[in-house]
Amino acid sequence: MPRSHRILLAGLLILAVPCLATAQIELQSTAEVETVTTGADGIPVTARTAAVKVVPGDEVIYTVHYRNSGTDHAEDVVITNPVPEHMHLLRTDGLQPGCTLVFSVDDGQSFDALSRLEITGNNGRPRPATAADCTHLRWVFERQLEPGEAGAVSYVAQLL
Amino acid sequence: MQAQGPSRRAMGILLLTATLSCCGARAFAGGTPAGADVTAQASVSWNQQGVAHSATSNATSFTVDEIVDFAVVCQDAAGVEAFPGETGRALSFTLLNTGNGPETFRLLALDALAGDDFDPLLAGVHLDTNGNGIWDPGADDVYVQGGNDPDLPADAVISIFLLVDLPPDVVDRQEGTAKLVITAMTGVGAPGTVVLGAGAGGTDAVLGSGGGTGDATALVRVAAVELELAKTAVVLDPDGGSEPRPGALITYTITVTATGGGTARGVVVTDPLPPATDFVPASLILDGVPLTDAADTDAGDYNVTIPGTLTINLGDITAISPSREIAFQVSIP
Repeated sequence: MPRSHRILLAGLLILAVPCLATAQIELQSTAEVETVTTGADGIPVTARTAAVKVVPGDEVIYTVHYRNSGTDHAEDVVITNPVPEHMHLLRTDGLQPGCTLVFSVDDGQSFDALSRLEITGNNGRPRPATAADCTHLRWVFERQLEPGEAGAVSYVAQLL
Repeated sequence: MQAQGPSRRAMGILLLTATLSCCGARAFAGGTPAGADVTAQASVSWNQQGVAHSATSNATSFTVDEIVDFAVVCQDAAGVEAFPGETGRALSFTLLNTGNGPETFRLLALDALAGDDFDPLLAGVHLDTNGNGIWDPGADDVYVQGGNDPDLPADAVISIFLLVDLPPDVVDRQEGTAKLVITAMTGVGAPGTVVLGAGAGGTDAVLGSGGGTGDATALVRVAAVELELAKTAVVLDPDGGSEPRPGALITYTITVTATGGGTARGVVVTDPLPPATDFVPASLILDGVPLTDAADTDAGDYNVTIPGTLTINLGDITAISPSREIAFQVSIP
């Protein structure tokens, strides 16, 4: 093939490759504790710092920051967060619009609204599950995440 | 993914091992051991143009620090009874390590407290060496400060005994108090104080709500039971009068009554016959029931246990027991 034809072919090939649109969800997890200090004017100030000095009984705020860093929208986005060992779930923060929060009490095998979950009680009989029984949290987005869209979901757990 | 079962989670929440006193005890006895790592990681899945994707977050992690916390409880919360002059009365306390790491504890006993009717006199502090929760003289070692300070792992409990003597001049129903003060060797200070590197496994130690110190107070109530004896004599002479002359019969009645608190144990009444009288055989009666003169299985005898004397065993008597009545006859020869 003459050299000029090869160059032309290469150029056509380059032009023929489509620009790929990707949707890439990036997650950043943080573990924080809330501290209350009294300012010079006597007014208490609440601040969040990274969880470092944690002892049994302390509450830790786990946050998952998410972002679609791609160029295409992402559908059926599901964020799953296991409750860490030695901790139990206390409460969750306000939800994102268009996002449903479900829970698992069976190690992530099944998820449902907390009010519909049951576990086997200590007497061998089923009882309604409580927040403390949860092994996993899952946020299910009903809407697609647009490119560049970001947000955060979080929950509070207590160290046993 | 970490493996966690619902039943294990429920166990962790129900881990209360003892009744906790007001002295700085947390709701979670023991808790996650100091030095344990707690890691969290989230994952996400999504579809793009029909193709499934997934990703994970970073793993966040922290190491559990040690919390210094313990509970001191006086086992005899309602008070113990002791009699005036009693020695070596044991007051029982328990010490429970409610923190999440091992701790060594220093003990201090105080007897000269204000606000009580008398001061029990401290006769010693002992540790429950044989671990049975009961004061066993000889088996439970004396506590030596700095020598055998109790060292407890998380969730462990030990009994401690304060021995007290009661002054002889205390009065029925008076109350005395003795206090056991316990401090953690890791440190004492404001709750939340951090003692760097003092925790198990090189972690930092944090003083719990008790600030590394706690105490409990025992109450000793005096139960001084007293016995009262009242003796009457009725003389019947051969002519139906009451002249104490030869041939007359004298009927004696002894009434035994208890007052005050507590129990008089193993009460024995002895009554020598008046001189120049003869005992009327088989005349001894206790609470309306005749007793034999011989020393046998019944409660009394004449002239056997002690010559010339009536001996009657009344057993235990309290202020609530009915009065006991002993009756017998003698004749004037």
